[in-house]
Amino acid sequence: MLEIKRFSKSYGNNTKKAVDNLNLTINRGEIFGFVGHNGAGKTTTIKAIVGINEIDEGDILIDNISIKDNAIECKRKMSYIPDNPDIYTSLTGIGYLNFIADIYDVSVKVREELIDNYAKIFKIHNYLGDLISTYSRGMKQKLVIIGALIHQPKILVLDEPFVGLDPMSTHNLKNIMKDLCKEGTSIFFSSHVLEVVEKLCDRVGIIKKGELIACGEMKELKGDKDLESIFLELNE
Amino acid sequence: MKMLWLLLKTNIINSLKINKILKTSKMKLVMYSLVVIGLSVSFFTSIFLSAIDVVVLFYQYNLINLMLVVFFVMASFITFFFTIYNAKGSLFNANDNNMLLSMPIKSSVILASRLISLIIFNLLTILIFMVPVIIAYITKVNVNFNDYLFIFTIFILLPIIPTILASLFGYLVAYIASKSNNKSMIELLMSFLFIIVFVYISNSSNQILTYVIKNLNSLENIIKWSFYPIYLVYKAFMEYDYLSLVLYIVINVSLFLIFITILSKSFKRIIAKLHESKTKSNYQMKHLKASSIKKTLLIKEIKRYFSSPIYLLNTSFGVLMLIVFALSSIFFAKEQLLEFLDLSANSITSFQIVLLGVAFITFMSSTTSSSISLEGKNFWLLKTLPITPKQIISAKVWLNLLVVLPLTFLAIIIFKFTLLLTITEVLIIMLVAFLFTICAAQFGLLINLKFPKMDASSDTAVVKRSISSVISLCVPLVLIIILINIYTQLSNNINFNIFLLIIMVSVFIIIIIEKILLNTWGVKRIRKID
Repeated sequence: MLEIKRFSKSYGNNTKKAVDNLNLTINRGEIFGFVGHNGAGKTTTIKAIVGINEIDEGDILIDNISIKDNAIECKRKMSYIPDNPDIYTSLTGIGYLNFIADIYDVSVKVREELIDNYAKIFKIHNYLGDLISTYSRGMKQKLVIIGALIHQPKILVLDEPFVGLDPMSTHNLKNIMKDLCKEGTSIFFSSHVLEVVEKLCDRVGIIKKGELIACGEMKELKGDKDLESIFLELNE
Repeated sequence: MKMLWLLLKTNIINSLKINKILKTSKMKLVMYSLVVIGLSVSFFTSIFLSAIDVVVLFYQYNLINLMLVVFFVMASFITFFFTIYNAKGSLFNANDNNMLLSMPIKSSVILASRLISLIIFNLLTILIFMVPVIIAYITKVNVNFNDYLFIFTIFILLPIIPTILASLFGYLVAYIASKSNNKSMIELLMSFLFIIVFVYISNSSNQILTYVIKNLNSLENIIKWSFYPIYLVYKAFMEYDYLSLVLYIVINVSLFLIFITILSKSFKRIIAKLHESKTKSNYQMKHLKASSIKKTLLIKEIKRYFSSPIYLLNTSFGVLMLIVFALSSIFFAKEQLLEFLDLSANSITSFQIVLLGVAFITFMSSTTSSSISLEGKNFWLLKTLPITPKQIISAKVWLNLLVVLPLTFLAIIIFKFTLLLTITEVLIIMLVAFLFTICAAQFGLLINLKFPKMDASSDTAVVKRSISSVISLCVPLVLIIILINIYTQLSNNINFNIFLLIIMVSVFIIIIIEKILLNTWGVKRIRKID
C-alpha cells in the first residue's frame, strides 16, 4: 500500500542527510507508528510521503504508483494531518470542509453525511459557520482531522495528531483510526507519546539521525519490555 | 535599561534577518551587496540631481533656509503615512508578545523596545531620500557648525512624533474595527478614507506652497498654530534658536515617555482586545454545493483577498482611484477635466491620457506579487491536495484579473461618455488593459515565486516590505517611465498608433514568455517551496 524505497533527503548544501536510505512498507489495514527524537527525520519523511518535500533519492509508492511520477494520483488516495493546524483563517469551518470536498470531488450526499457525522463526534458542529480565525488551536486541529477524513482516504498520514486535542477527542480519534484500519485504510503516524503508539500500532519503526534503527511487529520489537524502555535503550 | 537594550537588539537582529544574512554564502552575499549598492547609488544620484534643482529653485525665491524645513515636514508626513500600516502589527500584534508578557519584563519596556524599533526603521526609510537632499543642500549652501548640529539633531528626532501619532491612529482604527463583526471591512474603509484625504492634500500641495510663499509674513503664525513642533524646527533652523531646538528635543522625548507610560498601562488589555474573537456557535447543517476545482480554488483566493485589508488596499487602490476619477468625471465637462489634469495646453489627447492612466494602473496593480507569500504556513495544504501547480498558478492569476479588469473596464466605459472617446479608442484601451493586467499578474507571480516570504509575521510584512512586492511595483513604474521617455524622444519621427502597436505586440510576446516560464520554472518552484 505505502512503500518507501531507499528514500534519502538532505536540506540546502548540507552533505549530512536528514533521512538516509529509508526502506519501509506499510500494509493495507495496518497502523504503523514512527518514533524518534526531535530532528531524527520523522517530519522530513512524512513531508516527502505527502508531497510537500521533493525526494532527493529513492522513491515512495502509493498503491504501486510513484509519487515522483504521478503525484496527483497518489495524493487522491492520501490524507495528511500536520503537527500544526495552519489552515485558511479567512474561511468558515464549513467553507474549509466544502473546499476540501470539492478538491477531492466528494459527492454532495457523502460530504454532508460525513461532515455532519465527524463534526458531531468532535463536537464542533455548532461552530462550523464561524470563521476559522475565531477557532482555538484544538478546534482547528479537529477541523483538519475532519477535512482529512471526508474523502475516505486509503492512506492516512499523521504527524503528532494528538497534540492540542482534548482527552475526549483523543479517544475518539483513536477509535476512528482503529475503525478505518478495519475498513482497510493504512495509517502512518508519528508521535512522541510512546504509550499511545504502543497501544495503537501493529508495527513500529524507530528512526535516529535519519536512519531506521529498528522496525517490526510491536510485540516482537518490545518483547517483555515496554516501548519506552526499548526506545531509550536504542537512543542511548 | 539593560532589558530594553536586549529586546531592542533581538528585535533588530530578527527583523533585519542579520543572522540569516551572515550565514549566506560569501558569493551570494557579494552579489546581493553589489545589487543593493548599485540600486542605492542610482537612487541616491537621481534624488540628489532632483534635489539640486530644488535648491536652485529655493535660491531663486530667496528661501533657501526654508528648504530643509519643507523637506523635514515632507519626511514627517511620509513617516506618518507608512507607519499607520505598520504600527498595529509592530506594536500590538507581534508574534512574540505573549511570550514576552509571560517573562519578568515590564510592559513599558516591551512597548518602548517596539516603538524604538519602529522609529529606527522609519529613520532608515527617510534616510534614503533625506541624505541626498541634505548633501545637495550642503554642496550649494555655506554650512557652518551650527547648521550641522541643527540638521543632525532634528533629523534624528524627526520620526518620533509622526510615529507616535500614526501608532495612535493605527491603534484607534484597529480598536474600532475590533468592535465590529466585519473587522476587515471597517479597517479597509477607514484606511481608504485616510488615503483619499492624503491624496487630496498632496494634490493641493501646489496651492498650499503658493499660499505659503504669498503669505510668508504670516507663515510663522500659521505653522505655530497648526503644528507647534514644526514651528520649533522652523524657528531653530531659520534663526539658529537654541531654545527652540532644546524645546523641540524636550517635546519629542516627553511625547515618547507619555506615550509609553499611558499605553503600557493598558498594553495587555489592548493586545487582548485586538485578539478577541466572537463565535456565534449556532451553525445548523445546510445543503452544501459542489464546485469544480478551478472555481473552488478561485473562491478561496477571493476570500483570502477580501479578508486582508492591507492586501486589498495595496493592490486595488489604483483601480479604485480610477473608478473614483471616472465617476467624478461625470460632473465635469471634457475641457474642465483636461484643465484639471493640466493637459489643456499640451497636444496630448484625452484618448492618450486615459490610455496612459489605464496602462499605468493595470501594470502596477499586481495581487500576485504577494499571493504565494501570503499562503505562508498554509502552503502545506495546497501542496498535499491532489491539484497541479498549474491550477494553483491559474487561480492566482485569475484573482488578479478579477480584481483589476471589471472595474477598469467600467471606468473606461464611463470615460467613453465623459471624455467623448470613440468606440475604437475604447476597444484599444480595453485591449491594453487586458494585456497589461495579464502581463503584470504573471510577472508578479514569477517574482513572488523567485522571492517567496513564507515565514512573514503579518500580511503587512508581505504586502509592504517583501522583496517581490517592491520589485513588482518598481519594475512596471520604471518601464512606463522609460516608455514615456522613448516616445517623447521619438514623437517627431514615429506615429503614436504605430508606437502603441509595437508596445502591444511586445507585451503580448512578454505574456507568452511569462506563461512558458510559469509552466516550467514556476511549476518546479512551487514544488520546491515549503
